[in-house]
Amino acid sequence: MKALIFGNKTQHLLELVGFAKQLKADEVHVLAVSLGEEDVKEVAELGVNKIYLIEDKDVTTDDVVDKLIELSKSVNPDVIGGPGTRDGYEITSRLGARLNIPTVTEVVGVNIEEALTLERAAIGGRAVCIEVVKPPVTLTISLGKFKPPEEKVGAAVVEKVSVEKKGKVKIVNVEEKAKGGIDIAASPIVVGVGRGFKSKEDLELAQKLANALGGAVGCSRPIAADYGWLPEDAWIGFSGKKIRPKLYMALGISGAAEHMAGVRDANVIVAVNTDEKAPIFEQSDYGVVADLYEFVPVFLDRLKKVLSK
Amino acid sequence: MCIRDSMKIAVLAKASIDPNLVEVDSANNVITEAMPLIISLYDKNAMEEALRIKERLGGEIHVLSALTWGPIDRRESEAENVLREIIAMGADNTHLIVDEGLINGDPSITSLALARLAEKLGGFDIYLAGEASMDMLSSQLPSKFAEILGIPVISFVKKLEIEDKRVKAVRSLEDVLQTVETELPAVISVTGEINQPRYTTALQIRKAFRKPINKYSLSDLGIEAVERRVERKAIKILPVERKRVKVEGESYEEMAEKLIEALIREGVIKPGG
Ligand SMILES: Cc1cc2nc3c(=O)[nH]c(=O)nc-3n(C[C@H](O)[C@H](O)[C@H](O)COP(=O)(O)OP(=O)(O)OC[C@H]3O[C@@H](n4cnc5c(N)ncnc54)[C@H](O)[C@@H]3O)c2cc1C
Ligand SMILES: Nc1ncnc2c1ncn2[C@@H]1O[C@H](COP(=O)(O)O)[C@@H](O)[C@H]1O
Repeated sequence: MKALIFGNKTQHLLELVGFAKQLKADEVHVLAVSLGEEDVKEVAELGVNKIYLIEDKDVTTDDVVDKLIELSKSVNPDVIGGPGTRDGYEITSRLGARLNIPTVTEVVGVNIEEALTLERAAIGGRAVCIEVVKPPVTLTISLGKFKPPEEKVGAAVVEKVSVEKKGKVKIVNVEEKAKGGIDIAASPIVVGVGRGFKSKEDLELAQKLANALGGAVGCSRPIAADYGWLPEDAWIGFSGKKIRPKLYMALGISGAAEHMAGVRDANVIVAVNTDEKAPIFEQSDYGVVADLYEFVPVFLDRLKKVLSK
Repeated sequence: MCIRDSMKIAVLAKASIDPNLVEVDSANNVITEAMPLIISLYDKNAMEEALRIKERLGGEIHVLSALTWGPIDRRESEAENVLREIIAMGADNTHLIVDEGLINGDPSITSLALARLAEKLGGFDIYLAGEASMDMLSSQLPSKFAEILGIPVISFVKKLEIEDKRVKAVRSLEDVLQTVETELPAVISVTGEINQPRYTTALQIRKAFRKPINKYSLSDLGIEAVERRVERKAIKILPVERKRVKVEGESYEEMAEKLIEALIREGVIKPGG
């Protein structure tokens, strides 16, 4: 099996090499996008065949699709793999359509015993869909699922390549998103806030609780994306961050499949919700049916006493 | 080329299975046949954006949908019913593809069918879709659909402006906001944040039931055989092993006390800090 992988972050490329090793690929070719020679050094040491490097920072998804089509003519890959990012989904989907081959996004597992069998996230992230595909295929891997190989074996040739920029979509501006400065994925305790909160000011209550517990505040998608009450890097779920704290305390969160996909690996989940039928109670260890505005202050008060004993 | 001052708008809307009403058998297989259909959440945002464009520039809105969940005999009318929700928001015309060849099919086949439908309807100035469907979350369809039609796609758009058949769109990527421009016709996939979909009244929904839904088979669209290169073996639920203890008490004080005791037992908090 031959693999052609691409990505614009070193970490993503490392994970993709890890994935290619699980495929037992005998050839791995890499297209590194908008990266520098330093960024691909680690990738080059993992026993890949060749790295094609686009140093240009200003490339569009069109440019990457065109380049991958050009490379696939010489490499003849069975699998063209990219990272599970928004650009990654678009690029692999378009590539699949152009080459008239299937695309499988969000791959979480692979089996090559009889046929190429891929497991992908489905049903709002609550399930996996097991699919047998006939190569060649384009796919994206779910990030954080495949470990980069540890063994270093030589250094691959790095060839700088340029893109033609024939695409019909032009980039006119790029702006960094605001960051919260706290990595909730690294926090052992996370207090999650949802639409049960009525205003941005009220999130103070969750922050106080997080402070007392020595944790951080995360949120459901609407709190960050729709209301902008917290930065987007605090958003937990399928399309946000996947976290694995020892305690996740969800306040005013209903427990939609896409949210819970981000806290599957938490050790203990506590839910506070006024609606006793909220789906979150089925997916929690401890459920408190209560108004968070009334319960949390009482809980916080007791907690502080216990912690200072 | 014909010159129009108004916009011919297509909205791609999926009757998805409801991921929050999962049914499973004893072997952890998801029984999709037993789960109800629902309009995929962010397709309502696509429809809302279509309405705003029509309100500003004039034009007509067509809803395009392909049924991908069986069994067909039961699902056909169920799909029509859930589509009413989006029609009630203000669609002018609705088109639904129903064919065994699409059931449990992969996005390559679905996008081909929808692209052929769009061509049959004479093509549109703009196609609006959701960033991902609620059930399969594949984020593939809008991109493949655009490639088949040979027009640009802009995915994950959280802000859209249209002026003189040009689009300016802000893409919401993981770390950056990327503003891009292109010319129409184009396919736009919208994020859930682009707008707040309007509510529909009971009256609007009742009226929506009077609007006809045009139906097509694959052969109506000139597709005679579909080659399946992705074979779905099973959909397995990821088991949730949680204690599901209800913390009860006479007062919030008592409940708080009990919860703290439980968290100490679990070893996640320690008395004395
Ligand atoms: C493709 C796709 C991807 C998505 N990705 C994500 C994702 O990554 N992360 C994510 O979070 N969502 C995601 N979603 C959205 C998800 O489906 C839900 O819409 C969202 O998680 C709901 O957020 P919520 O629980 O805060 O709000 P709601 O569902 O509105 O729930 C609010 C809850 O608060 C309770 N409540 C109200 N008042 C109080 C009070 N005073 N005290 C206590 N409880 C109260 C209510 O009973 C209710 O249960 C995605 C959706 C799609 C379609
Ligand atoms: N069967 C379908 N019929 C109509 N539109 C669809 C269908 N499947 C997907 N779409 C559109 O494509 C978007 C992304 O879906 P997906 O590629 O399944 O994640 C959805 O939000 C819809 O707008």
